Amino acid sequence: MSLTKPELLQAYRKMYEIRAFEERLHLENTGGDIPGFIHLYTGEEAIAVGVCENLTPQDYIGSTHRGHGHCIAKGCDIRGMMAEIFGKETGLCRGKGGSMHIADLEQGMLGANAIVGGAPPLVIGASLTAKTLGNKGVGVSFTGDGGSNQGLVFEAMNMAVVLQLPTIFIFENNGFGEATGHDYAVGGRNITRRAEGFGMPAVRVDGVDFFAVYEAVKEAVQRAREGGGPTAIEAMAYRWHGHFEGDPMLYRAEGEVERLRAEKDPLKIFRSKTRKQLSDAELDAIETEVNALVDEAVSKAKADPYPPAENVLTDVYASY
Amino acid sequence: MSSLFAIEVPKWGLSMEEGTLSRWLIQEGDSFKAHQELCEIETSKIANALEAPSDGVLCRIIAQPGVTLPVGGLLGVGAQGEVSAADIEAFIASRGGAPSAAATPAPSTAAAPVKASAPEPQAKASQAVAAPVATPAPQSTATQIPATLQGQTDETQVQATPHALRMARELGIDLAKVTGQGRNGRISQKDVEQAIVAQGGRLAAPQLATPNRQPLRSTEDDSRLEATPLARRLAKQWGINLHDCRATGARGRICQADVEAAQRTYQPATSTVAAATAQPTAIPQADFEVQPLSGMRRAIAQRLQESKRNAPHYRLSLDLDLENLMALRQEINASIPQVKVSINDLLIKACAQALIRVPEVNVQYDEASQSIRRYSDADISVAVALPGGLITPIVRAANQKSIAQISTEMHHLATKAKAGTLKPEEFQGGTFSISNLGMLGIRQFDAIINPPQAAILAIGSSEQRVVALDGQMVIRQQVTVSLSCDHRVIDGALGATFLRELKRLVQTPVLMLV
Amino acid sequence: MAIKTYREAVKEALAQEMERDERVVLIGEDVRGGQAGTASPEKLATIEAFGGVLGVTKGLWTQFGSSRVIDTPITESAIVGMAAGAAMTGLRPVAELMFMDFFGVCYDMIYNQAAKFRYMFGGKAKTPLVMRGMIGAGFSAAAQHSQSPYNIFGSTPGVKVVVPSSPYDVKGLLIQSIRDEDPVIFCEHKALYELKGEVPEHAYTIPLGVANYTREGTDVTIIALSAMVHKANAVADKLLKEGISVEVVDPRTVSPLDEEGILESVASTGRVVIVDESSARFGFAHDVAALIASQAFHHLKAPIVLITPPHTPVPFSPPLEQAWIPSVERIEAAVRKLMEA
Repeated sequence: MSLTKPELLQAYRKMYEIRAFEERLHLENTGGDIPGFIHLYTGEEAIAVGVCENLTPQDYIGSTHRGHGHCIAKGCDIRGMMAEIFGKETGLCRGKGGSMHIADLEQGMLGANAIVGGAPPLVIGASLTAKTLGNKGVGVSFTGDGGSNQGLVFEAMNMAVVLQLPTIFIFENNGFGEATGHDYAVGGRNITRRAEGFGMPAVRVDGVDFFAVYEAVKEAVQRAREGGGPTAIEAMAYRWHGHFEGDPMLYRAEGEVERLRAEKDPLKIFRSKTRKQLSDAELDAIETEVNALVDEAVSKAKADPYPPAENVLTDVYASY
Repeated sequence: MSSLFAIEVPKWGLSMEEGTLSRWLIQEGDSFKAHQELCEIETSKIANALEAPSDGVLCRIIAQPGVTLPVGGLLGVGAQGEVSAADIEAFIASRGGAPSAAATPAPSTAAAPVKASAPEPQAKASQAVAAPVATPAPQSTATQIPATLQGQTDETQVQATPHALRMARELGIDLAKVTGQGRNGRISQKDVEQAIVAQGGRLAAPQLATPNRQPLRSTEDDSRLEATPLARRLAKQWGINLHDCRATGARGRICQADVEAAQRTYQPATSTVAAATAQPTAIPQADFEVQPLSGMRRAIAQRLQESKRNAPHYRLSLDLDLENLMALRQEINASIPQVKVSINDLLIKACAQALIRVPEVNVQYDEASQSIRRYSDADISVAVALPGGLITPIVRAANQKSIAQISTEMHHLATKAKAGTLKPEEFQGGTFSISNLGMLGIRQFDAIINPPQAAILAIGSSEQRVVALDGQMVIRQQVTVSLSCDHRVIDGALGATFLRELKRLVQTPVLMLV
Repeated sequence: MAIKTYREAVKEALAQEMERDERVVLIGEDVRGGQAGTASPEKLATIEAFGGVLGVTKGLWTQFGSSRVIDTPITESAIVGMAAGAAMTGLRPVAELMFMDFFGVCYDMIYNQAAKFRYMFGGKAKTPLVMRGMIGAGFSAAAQHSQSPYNIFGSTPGVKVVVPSSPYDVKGLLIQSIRDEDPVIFCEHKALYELKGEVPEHAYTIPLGVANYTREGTDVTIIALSAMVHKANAVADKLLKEGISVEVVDPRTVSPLDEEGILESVASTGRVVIVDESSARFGFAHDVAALIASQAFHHLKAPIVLITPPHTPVPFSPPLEQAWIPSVERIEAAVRKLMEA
């Protein structure tokens, strides 16, 4: 294991931030204060953090509609995210984007993207910028198993291979595209093999194991930075919540979610794999700190002002 | 211990931005108690009294009635204990007012004036006495460029629209002296026009398309269009192509009213249907037939001749903005399916309310006993045209009736009038009359008072007009009304006050409901 | 001043901006052309097979190399998406889509992505992106290569839409578009590429949202874009000899639209003809007519006349296509009728 103790603690902190953030939203959503709808990332924390722990703020990621985890892993401010989800002026996008469009270009976060398969074409653009400017940056796109079927994702993979762009295509296979299982919707049932067909290295990893994801991405990032072109990684994971908050999940087996919580919890797995380096007390202390941070973010988001109505007209153009 | 405090325009409700001082309820020098009403202020929504914030003396009145001030604008100065005149002046000065101007009544020099005040009623009254027929003096219409804008434009140095450049060339304006409001500061024609006006110049009236242009007339074969037999006959008689009629009859048929409407469109000046069906006017050199006056004709002739001869008429004209009234009407008609309120119904209501507020106009003159009869209810006579004459059925106590009641009653009265079945009590009496020729396209006219009443309101056609509003040309629905008054009992100021009240009610129709 | 074609003016604008700013890159199918061809390696190393299907970019690869002139697969979503992502992260890409008809393939990347970044992200994103392509009928290119969908682009908040009509305008507007911080859709009419006109050598800009009056007159205003401007000019010149004075207003950009430039001309003439190649319904003409009706109705002496194609796809056969395109005859007849009314 190549990670130092501070790096391990940092990784756990990020994963727990995602967990605490999402589970708190799950509760807050029933309060009626959150406009629109939200999609929770719980259960897939190891993917976002396993990827982003390999990246610097100069690297870019593009995300999905289920993007809170990616944002947190890439360094977006939790208070700003929470305020954005509550539709407040103090949100990362000043209340104009909401849950599905959280972005923070300074952190290299190109935005959650509510169009399924929307991120890969944009991320190859960020990769083209890095390649053209020669700054060794990489672009990472997150796409679900559902998005993996979109034509424009194919186009982006082909383009990245043709132009040998520094891109890593992450496919989070969480078993469901909305309410339809991937075994039905993903022809060939294997995104890895499909990506290989475009002419790039592709691997399938256990998406609940932080270390499996981390190591695979580390290799891919290194290859990309050295001019070796794109890589695809299919991370097998599990979505604990419904497609959106309010989804009754009629399509799921009885007891499935309970079993996932018991057996496929990325945080528990992380703890069990780091028994030698990290004590429970250290990790519990992190959880206490993060819980307080999320509490603060929620109270602040609730207290913060809504944007004034005249803001509806601003930020359409840089000049018009 | 003495202190001064400001009496200011209050903020009544979130949207209030300014208020107009209606009148002071106490005099300068009067003392007052906390919560005592000091003056009345009217906003676009309500009229209300301003209560004293504490005990004190009204040591200075700053704003005169009619002045409109923003919220927080200084109306007057109150004091507790002994204060010197110098203290008061200093206090006013500290509020940004011009102390010496405070004593003069001219509203435009009151502290913190932002808007031109409403015309001062007393001044208007004296004009009315001197020149009762208030025809507006023709204004000079030539464009005048203020010296501050004159010059030649260096066209390589300014960003301006082609028409702004053309205007500058024609009028000798240096566009460098005009501020552009367009994209990237580009100067438009409007910017130039605004600069001319802002710097004291004048603009020629805009050349608008002639509003009364004759609509194009169809020539297609209309023999296969669905129309009632009467409609077809009238159309043939008046030379109207049925394609030019809007079919409103059952199953999309063109009916008589549609043909009459088309005829009005083509001949707005002639008295339309009535003219077409009436007997031809006798012209000396042509053949003519003798027609003895009918009883009604004789009564009209005698009464109006007497009125015109005996009652010293003078007339006051005013434009009423109907936007709010139209909106109210639309709302009523949309909400209550049984009623179909007309603008005329609303004007009846508005007149009745105005008469109650200005009761000196709600009178009859008894020449014989040399006395004035003042009525507590407004009985409005409404002129209804009939073939060969007119009659004035009365909406009794219109001030007490709802708009819907007035509408229904007016409908019944008009129907009975046309059928000739009005009872005497339904058309005799009345305290005030309304005559409306708006539906015939008349813009403005003067009516003759219906004795023994003392005033009559002549209503022209409601039409879209280009008017100046806050320095902009805008299109508003407006109507011109003219009040004829008998000067023996109603003086100019009084008539003007009534019209002002009517205007207030029409333009803020919600006041009719309070 | 040098006489150049519209095509040369486009290329000159691209070359001068690429020279000035190394962040400007060209992205598109065959913007160079010839890669992995079967000609000899020596030949392939030097040629530019196409320079774009329009031939506009020919010579730029030689000058700037493969990192600045980037050939792509024929995948419009990836071209525009990549260009948008690159624009958001620091490049100033000019994407060439060949025919505007193909925007249908990648419209998500335009109207859901590039157009919305700035707004969705609370003003924190800039997307300095130019998307070039051909519009227009007249070459028997048939229904999928002849449309002028600038009306669709113009209805999308967040993008700017430029529709130049002359060599001078196309250069100044393209340079402005490349320097602009917002996404710009740049519509070049295929009938104009051979049009010649005076074009200064130096780089210059024309601001977006400023109409050009190609003719000044007092009786009738014709509002026209792109190739239609020249038809309007022809009518104006012909009728001037008969004493009818026509003003031709070329808005040059659909979004932003020079409302003042249009309304002032309408106010001065009171008679309006709008010539528009985009669409018989929900088109540019209809939008401008609504603007005039709502802002300048009282200036009108007669109803506004719209001259658009019929509500059909663009046909192939030359006589059919000529019947489809708004013609000089229709414009002239409309002006005459307005003067009689």
